[in-house]
Amino acid sequence: MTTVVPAPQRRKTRAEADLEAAFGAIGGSLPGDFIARAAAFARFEEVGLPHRRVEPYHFTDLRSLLAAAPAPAERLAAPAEAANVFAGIDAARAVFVDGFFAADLSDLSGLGDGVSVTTVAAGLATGEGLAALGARVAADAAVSADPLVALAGAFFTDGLVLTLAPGAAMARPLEIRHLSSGKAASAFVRHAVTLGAGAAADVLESHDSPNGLDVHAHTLVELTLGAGAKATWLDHQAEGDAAARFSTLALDLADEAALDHSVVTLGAKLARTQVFARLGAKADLTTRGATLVKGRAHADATLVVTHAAPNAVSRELYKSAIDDEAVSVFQGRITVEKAAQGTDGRMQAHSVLLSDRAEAKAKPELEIFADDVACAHGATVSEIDDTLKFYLMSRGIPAAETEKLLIRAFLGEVTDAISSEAAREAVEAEIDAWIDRREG
Amino acid sequence: MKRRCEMLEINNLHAEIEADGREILRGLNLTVKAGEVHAIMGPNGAGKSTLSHVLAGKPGYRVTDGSATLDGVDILAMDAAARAAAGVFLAFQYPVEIPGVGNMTFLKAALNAQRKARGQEEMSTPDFMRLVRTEAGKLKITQDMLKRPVNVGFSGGEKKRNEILQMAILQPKLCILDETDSGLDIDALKVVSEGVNAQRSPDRAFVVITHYQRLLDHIRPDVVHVLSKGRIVKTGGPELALELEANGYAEFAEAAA
Repeated sequence: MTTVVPAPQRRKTRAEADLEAAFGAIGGSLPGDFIARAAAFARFEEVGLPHRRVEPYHFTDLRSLLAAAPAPAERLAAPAEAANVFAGIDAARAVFVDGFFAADLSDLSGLGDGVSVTTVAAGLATGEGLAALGARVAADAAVSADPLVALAGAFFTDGLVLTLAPGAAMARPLEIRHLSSGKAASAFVRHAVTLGAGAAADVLESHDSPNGLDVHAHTLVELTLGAGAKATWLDHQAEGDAAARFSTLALDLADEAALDHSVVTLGAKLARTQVFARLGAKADLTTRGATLVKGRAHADATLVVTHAAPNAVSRELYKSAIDDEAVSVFQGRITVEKAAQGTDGRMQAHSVLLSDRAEAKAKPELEIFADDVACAHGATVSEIDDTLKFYLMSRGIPAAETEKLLIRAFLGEVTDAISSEAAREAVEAEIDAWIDRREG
Repeated sequence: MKRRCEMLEINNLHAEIEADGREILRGLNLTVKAGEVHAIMGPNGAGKSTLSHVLAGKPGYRVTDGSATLDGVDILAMDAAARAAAGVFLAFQYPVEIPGVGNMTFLKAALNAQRKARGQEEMSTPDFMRLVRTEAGKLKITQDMLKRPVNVGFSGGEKKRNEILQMAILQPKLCILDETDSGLDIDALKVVSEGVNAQRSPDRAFVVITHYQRLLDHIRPDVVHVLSKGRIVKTGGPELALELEANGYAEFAEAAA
């Protein structure tokens, strides 16, 4: 005799039910191919919001961290007031409000020859120019299986498609700015940036939303660098203190391509920043993160770096300053495939705890299938060093100022490396302001 | 009639290690007048470094009795930064390295914090640069050392010279030198000593803590004290240092027991 045990029914969380209802309500009216969106949503529903037994989300259990999901924004609205951290930089600007392109706030001029830029919504309307959209995600099971990627794929309303012809160099930086209308909403954008062989571009990404607002802001970026292409990418995340920020950057670096990527996170109640990178021969990836969290916020940086061909170099340096009862998570995995002889990969994650109840969780991993590689990783958690503090105070620097100097110094390793002086100074000023607010 | 206060007056100072309650200073008395240089000598474990730490306000010690005043003001109630602004300066036995904080940034932050605490205007950047260049030159401190993070990658001698540079720029009232001679070769010792001697003035007092007489050949003290088991057990002129060099500390270790 056999007993049939029914598969356990997983109870849907409120947030999952919200997302399901939202897709049912508006999925059919979103632009473009509904089949593809439905397939993406099905991938999400298969696993639902990930919980702690889902390995990549072990420290960031979205089932318990997300109480509900606000309804997706349905149309463009005027943005809530937000100072632009990169205002002082001469850059072209693409502005999105609640995930919709705001043409009248944007200026895409002066990017130079060989640079074409269009919006996802415009591309979906004409059916042209979107070849790059989704290609990087589809090629990588680890990316397409991710529930946040699936959600962005189901709900995206708009985004930017930036394409550089081989050899083209962008004449000035491009800022992709993400704002909120000031209403509680979920927003989903996806961008595709493709640099042809030998092309060069500097991109700034910024995210702002007001404090106290229930915003779920999703961003999915596919960045593909052709052979020998060079890019810098600086992502500044300053969401409001009640917001959830979900960022995925899916990278593909062809042979000898080089990317210098930095992400600064100093807002949001819940932030998950994930980078999936695939490196060709002699590619060079540097990615750095500075995270400042306080209150009861939770910030997660997750890296999956795959060396797929010989002699590529990757450098990962993530630092977090954690105050109050906040939690910072770092997960980093470097995978060296069998073909990737001569790989040089180094990953570092360091946290400083600014309060007794602050928490840092780090999980660096190396997965190596080639035999001639130089890989290393290190993770530390520390407090502000009393010896250093006393030394500075003994020279007359007050206690609060001393901590500020030491937190800045700790994060300096990340911010000092931002190559644009104007961008670096802007970010440093934001960090100073964050520290000052902490004292007050 | 109001009694005139001496620059540093320490009366019956008792201090213990906070962590384990071990008493290190056991009723220490010391009076230092403006313009004077006092040497404090003593065997290992006598409490020399503890005295310097307690005066500078290092956390980890508990003062259980007694007082310490600078120009009549109780310094023990102040935190380390307030003491520095009041004019206390400790030249560390082991200056720490501070990665990520530039030496110049540090010097400027310290000077301006002290000026602010005293109600003075911040020093302008050109004036500050001029001051640093002049004083650094005297101490053979290179531009490169000024540009680097505080003490990072400095040799032992460079670190000690950097301490004296800070002293020269901050212009304290009371300078406490904690075994400044340790780890210095004879040339470095000369440079550091000359730096200190250049700062001697009728308005400034020095407490030079050292295990060896050698430093006192270069920085001539007015008064020499012997510290043993947390107390000053003997006070004399410069000749006392020579006597100690010849006979060692055995006598005092016994006396205080």
